[in-house]
Amino acid sequence: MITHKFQMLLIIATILYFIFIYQLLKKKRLILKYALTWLLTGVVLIAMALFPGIIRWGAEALGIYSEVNFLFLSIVAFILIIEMSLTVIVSKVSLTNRRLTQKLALLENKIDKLERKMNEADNRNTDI
Amino acid sequence: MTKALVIIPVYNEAGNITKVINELEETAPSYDYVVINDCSKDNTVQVLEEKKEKVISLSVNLGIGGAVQTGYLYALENDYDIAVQLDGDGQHDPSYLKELVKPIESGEASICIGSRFVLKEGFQSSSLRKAGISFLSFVIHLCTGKKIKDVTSGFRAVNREYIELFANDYPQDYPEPEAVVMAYRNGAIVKEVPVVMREREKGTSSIDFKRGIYYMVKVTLSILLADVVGKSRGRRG
Repeated sequence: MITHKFQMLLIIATILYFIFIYQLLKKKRLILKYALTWLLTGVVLIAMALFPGIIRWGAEALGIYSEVNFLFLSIVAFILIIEMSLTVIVSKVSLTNRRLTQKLALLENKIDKLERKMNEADNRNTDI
Repeated sequence: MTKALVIIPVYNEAGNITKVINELEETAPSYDYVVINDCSKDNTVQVLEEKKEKVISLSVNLGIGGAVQTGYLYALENDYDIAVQLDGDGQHDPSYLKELVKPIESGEASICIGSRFVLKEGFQSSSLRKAGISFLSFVIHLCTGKKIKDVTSGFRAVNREYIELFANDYPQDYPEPEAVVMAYRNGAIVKEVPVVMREREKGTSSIDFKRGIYYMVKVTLSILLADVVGKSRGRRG
């Protein structure tokens, strides 16, 4: 049973959550692509807060005794999805990072070689 | 004429690297080499100042896999036919380079691993480590049906095809056993030749007991994964 008090709390919390994400997006501290999972979570949360019938239905469908536990389960599920996608993103960044570091090092080595060649050529010219 | 490159990954090896390079230049003057400095914190860079052109310095520490891969990228960019990995800690004796490269040159093998367990001579490592190595060897045998004794040996030569493969895709940390499985899944012929290894003179090995456990778990999983990934790739094409 979701009380009105708890429902109000949920609605206010979700609105604050959206404002927070909006601020981060506005300041470009968060890239929209990576905020999509967060936004989706927010949409589901606000829907549940506005229509507690969803929670009741979900709890019944899954055979969960306490309605609020269905809410918690949903939140945990979303957190897991977000965490997983974060790890995927980190792995990708780590791979690109590796490639960039390697290319940078190879280029530096090339520049070192070219500089020496140029210096040698300069020295030869001044010798003549 | 086949062009061969020796790749020497180093991390904090200021005490060993000069000796390694001098020995390499003396015993195998016909080989080109590059030192991949994996963002060492000691004065490895200063020690190598004279050989600056042979040194590729990573600005971020990538770990052994990323460092070795840089060498493969260099080999690919500069059109080498053969690449040989040689550790920067002095464990690998460059006088074996010839034997290591021979099966590659003749086309007999695509990858040739210098193994300390074929003749069981020289530095053999502690019994705990040997048990670990034979376990990994067993896992690889289960996965691929092939027997490689010294799967963790970083003293290995590869042909052009595997320079390309490893330049594009090389395991990250503790890469040696996984790289063998990747190669097998690509249809490589892997050969082991006997070498005598030495105990490192200065500095410490990167793997202590606690890391040893992590090492075994991580490497075993990565072998199994590499095997599955390789298989699915094989089916596709």
